[in-house]
Amino acid sequence: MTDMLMPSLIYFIAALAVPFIAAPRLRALFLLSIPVLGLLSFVYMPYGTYHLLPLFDVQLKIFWVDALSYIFGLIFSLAAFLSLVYAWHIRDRLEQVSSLIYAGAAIGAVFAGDLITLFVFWEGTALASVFLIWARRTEGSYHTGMRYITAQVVSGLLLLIGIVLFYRDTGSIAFEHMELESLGTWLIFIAFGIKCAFPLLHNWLQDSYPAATFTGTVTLSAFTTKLAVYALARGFAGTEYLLYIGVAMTLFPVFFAAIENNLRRVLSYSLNNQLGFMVVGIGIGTPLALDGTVAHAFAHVVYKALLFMSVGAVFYRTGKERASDLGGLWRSMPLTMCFCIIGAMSISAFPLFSGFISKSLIISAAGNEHYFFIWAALVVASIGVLEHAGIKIPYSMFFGHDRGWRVKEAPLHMLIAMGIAAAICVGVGIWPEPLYALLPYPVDYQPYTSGHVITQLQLLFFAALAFALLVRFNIYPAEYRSINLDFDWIYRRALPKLVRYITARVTAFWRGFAGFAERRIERTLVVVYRAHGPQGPLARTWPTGSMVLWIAILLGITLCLAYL
Amino acid sequence: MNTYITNKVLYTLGAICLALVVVDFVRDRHGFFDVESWPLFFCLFGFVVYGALIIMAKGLRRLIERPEDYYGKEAIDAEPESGMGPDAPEKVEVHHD
Repeated sequence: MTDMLMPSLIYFIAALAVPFIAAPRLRALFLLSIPVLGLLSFVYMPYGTYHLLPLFDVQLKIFWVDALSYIFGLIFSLAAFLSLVYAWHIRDRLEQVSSLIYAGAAIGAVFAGDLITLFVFWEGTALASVFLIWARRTEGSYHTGMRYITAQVVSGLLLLIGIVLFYRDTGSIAFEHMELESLGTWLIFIAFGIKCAFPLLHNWLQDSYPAATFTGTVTLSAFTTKLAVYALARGFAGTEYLLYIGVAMTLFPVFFAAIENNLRRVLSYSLNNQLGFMVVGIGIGTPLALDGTVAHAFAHVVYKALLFMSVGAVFYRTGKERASDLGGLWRSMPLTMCFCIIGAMSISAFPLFSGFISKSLIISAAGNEHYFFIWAALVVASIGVLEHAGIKIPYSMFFGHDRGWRVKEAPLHMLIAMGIAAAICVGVGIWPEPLYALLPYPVDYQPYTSGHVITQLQLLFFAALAFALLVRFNIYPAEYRSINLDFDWIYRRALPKLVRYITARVTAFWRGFAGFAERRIERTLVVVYRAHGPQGPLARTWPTGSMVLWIAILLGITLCLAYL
Repeated sequence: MNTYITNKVLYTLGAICLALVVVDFVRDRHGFFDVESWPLFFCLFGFVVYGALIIMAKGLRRLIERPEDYYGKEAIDAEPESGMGPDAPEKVEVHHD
């Protein structure tokens, strides 16, 4: 079977063909067929390694299917399909080509059986995805894209150095479980961490996702970060640091999301928070927790895409994506509103929606291991999710302050994409068994117990009651145009300022020093000139006779002294 | 007081919460930790934590809020929005009470 095309190659070949298909609808149809073909190329493959390629004295395993890579392959194929349906109206070939290469590279990366293949596809996702930001074609998006690609390339570079050191230490390039005990594995860990938006390494995400085209954001939201989650799950399951990193990731974005005005940035913070749940699951590292991480990645990709789609659909109709410009759209866009609310209830983990059956695996795994504070933090973070993604997103677009928008419902293809995503959210929520069956470990877990359903509803509805009262009494944060600083202020403002300050100081010091030295040299030259210059005593030409006379005198004195 | 949340919504939420308080007395109290068996734990936790999150976020906002053009031309925040569909939106005057 090794002669079969692997999915990433299908995407790449299609990407080459796309620019030459002139008819827009034919091109969109062609694009849609690629995720389907890609899926068919691996979905029936038995687990194992295909496409071995010798490189010097190591063997590259370019295509490796096991339970973990298989489900991530499914997730990415589904995400690619949904985002292409949603982007049916797009005619920009740059965006279409880069979407295909990006999706293909991400799928290639999850099927990589060795670190070098992983690195190649890892960089591929970085280089292809930046064009989704640049496709906005404004000066701001150009600069944002540069910041984005810098973060991504640094991640790739650290990965490469890490791989080299890891190979030197172990003689292996296999992509398997690693321990954080050498510089090489630490560098690989940090490289994964950048793409996974670990705290303080996270700003590229909130900076760039709102800067892409709104169809591009839907594509971006699926791949890069979930690829990192996959890589961490494969390489660093059970690493204790991930528990604390993950908890920090679930908590801090909550505060930023609550006060953010740009709705795509709210969702980007929310994405960061969702990654935190997955990272905690990887940190716990038990089969239940890892299953939870994978299930949550699946559910998350769909409902996060759905939420980004609904924000995009509103943007497509109103031209606005800030909470302060929107509100009251339920009259104009009722279907989009329904789909958005389904996404919001899924991410908030309402019973019967997908987030409920995936997140509870991770929280239960924390409980099983008696991690009380981790468990409590995840429950707090769940309330935060309800706040910014579950309530704020639908509330600020469709309810709240009616800003008077009277627009058309979203176009049909967007409704279809959102409808499929919403159906998956509800379908998986009601009937989780097929998803559970795909997870890497056998699942012995029943999400729908009366106790669990009741406590979850209590948590969510009392939080919603708090929201209603806060809005009623005008305590809920007002929506107005502003931005909020985050850690990226350090390298976007503080460091450049510091560098400019230091440059100015060093320049001033150097000027002073150079002036001083110049004056000293000049003075020395004057003295030397006085002695050696044209009129200087040492430069004068003395007559030979006087020299002979002086020598005779000296000899005479010496003679006298000798006889004394 | 504002009316974005109508009385109907508020009372509906109140009724649901009341029902959830009632079922709390018959719910299964087996959990991983002792706190899970405390009466009304999840009700109070959800309500209090939500309020606390919002108050803290508002405090944070006072520290880190900046005008939209803070990063100038190097960010998209002060750019006019672009990429809208072909249909120009209609906007009507809405009067709030």
